[in-house]
Amino acid sequence: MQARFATRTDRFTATTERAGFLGAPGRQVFAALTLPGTSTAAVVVCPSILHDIEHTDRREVALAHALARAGMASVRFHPRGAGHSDDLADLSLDAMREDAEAALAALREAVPDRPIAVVGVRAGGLVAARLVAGLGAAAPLVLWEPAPDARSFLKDGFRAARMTRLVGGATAEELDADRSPLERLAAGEPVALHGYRVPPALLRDEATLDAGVRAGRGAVLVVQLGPRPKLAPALRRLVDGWAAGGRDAGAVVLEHPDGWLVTASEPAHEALVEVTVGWLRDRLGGHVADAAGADPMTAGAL
Amino acid sequence: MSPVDATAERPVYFGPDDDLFGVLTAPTGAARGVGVALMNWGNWDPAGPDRLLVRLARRLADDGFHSLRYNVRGVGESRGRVAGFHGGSPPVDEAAAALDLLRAEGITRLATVGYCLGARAGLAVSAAPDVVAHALLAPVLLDFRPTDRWRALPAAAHLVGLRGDLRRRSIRTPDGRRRALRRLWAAAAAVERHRGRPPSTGRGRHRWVATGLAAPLEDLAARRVPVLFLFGDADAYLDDFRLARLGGLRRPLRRSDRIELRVIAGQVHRIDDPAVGRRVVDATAEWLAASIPAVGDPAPSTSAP
Repeated sequence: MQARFATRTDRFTATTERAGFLGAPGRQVFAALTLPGTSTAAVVVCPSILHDIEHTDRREVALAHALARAGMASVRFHPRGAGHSDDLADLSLDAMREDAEAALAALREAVPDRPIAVVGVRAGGLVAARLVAGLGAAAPLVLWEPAPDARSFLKDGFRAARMTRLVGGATAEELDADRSPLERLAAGEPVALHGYRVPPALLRDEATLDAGVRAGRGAVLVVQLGPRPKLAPALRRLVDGWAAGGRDAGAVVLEHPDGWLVTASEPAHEALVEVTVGWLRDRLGGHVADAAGADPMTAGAL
Repeated sequence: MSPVDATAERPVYFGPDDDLFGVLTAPTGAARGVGVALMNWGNWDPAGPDRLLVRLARRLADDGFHSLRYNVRGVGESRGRVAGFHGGSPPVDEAAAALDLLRAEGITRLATVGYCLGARAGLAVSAAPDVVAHALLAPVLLDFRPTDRWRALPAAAHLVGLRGDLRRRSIRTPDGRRRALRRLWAAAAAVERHRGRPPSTGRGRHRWVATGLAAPLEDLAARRVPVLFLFGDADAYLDDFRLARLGGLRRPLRRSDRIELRVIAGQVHRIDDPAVGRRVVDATAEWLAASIPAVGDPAPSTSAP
């Protein structure tokens, strides 16, 4: 057990993938770097958490591969307390930001002096906005259907869990017995969401997406995926507010019947990835022709 | 919290063209010389539902086992695409590559722990003589696509369910009567579906269980290899197991006293409570430790289900 990172290089594209652990024992963060032969920019992907990982992880992998084809290096990571990373008694947004900074440092070491962009995936948007604000430079920020705050993220999750149980045949009494998970969580009681333990510290975090984005200076893109043809009112208000404040802020709605759901085959990601890579390439530079190429994941190659 | 952290772990790409990704975990205590392949399919979280595979790997390391948790193609860091989920098509190539990697690490005794369809993958590679134990966590016992289990069940399953409804007198309520009628309709439809079909699954020698599960289990029973079936008492798959025990699983279960059924509280398939995940880890680790003797120890005895 010597090496801490596994490495593989695609013989056709010369893109290298490195997956392994960052940080000191007991505080190790699992990270995956995707490094094209030559890169013009570097992108940090801040993941979602809890049950959302099932819906988002593979889309983040697809994004990293597409970024590499467009000449952009990237790093993805599992926050401590999630995925392959070390345990953490109480996963929190503050801890996630520390992990994001560790991932960013690893990316900077691998590809120094490249312009940085950040992608935040749903709850990871709260971390991504804070990371961008701390960068100082006007780093572009892409938010995949972000949660306005941690409470909203959890509330949506509990509502979805309730609907799942209803469809699964739960009785009214069973549903009523689990009526107020947010209140129970606030009281420090352990609460499960789709089988994942929800850390109480998450609910205590009062940071908002709005405050995080306003603390930064770069362009912002919000991407919404799902059957709804219009941007959700809460996100529309945020984007309009940022634009009114002079920020380069926009939104894209991608209509898809499955939305964030995962199916038996592959989570829908093509349009999501294409929009994201195209927007980042416009702001950071990159290889136009390669980005639109066929997804080599189909053939098993990178 | 487990005393084992990622320090004892080594990420690795493996398989053809290094397409697959996994994490090797070394024992933190006295090594038993046994490598456990942790196989998950049926869940898109690369670490398993609520980190089930990570927790299990770290617990097993504490108990002296090597392990490899890995992602099938199209999940996590493994390349490729998921072709689709079907009970009759477990990801066998990945399972074989995982065992080969453990062998390449110099480990001479292997075990598999498979979750959901991953359990079927473990059984599919069970013929190898160096695989000394199999744990099947909420395994899929019939061949079906997602959401299609109801249609895949044999008529007997619906009739057994109807008998339970009658015993509980649940047909006194409108919901109960609707459910009973649905069962009757489903039983009739199952009879019609199976009329004239070849006895590959659900009939003949492997009645009420997939041949892909029953056939390797018969071989394991003949070799007296320890096998664990672990279900939650709320699992629909437990009902499938109980029915299969009256059909195609009867022979292997009678033939070997090393095939064990354990039922824990809650829902193991599609775990909806983190406490269930902890119980799964404990039950699996305890069973492995009891079933695989250290070299030189006498073989432990287990009771038949």
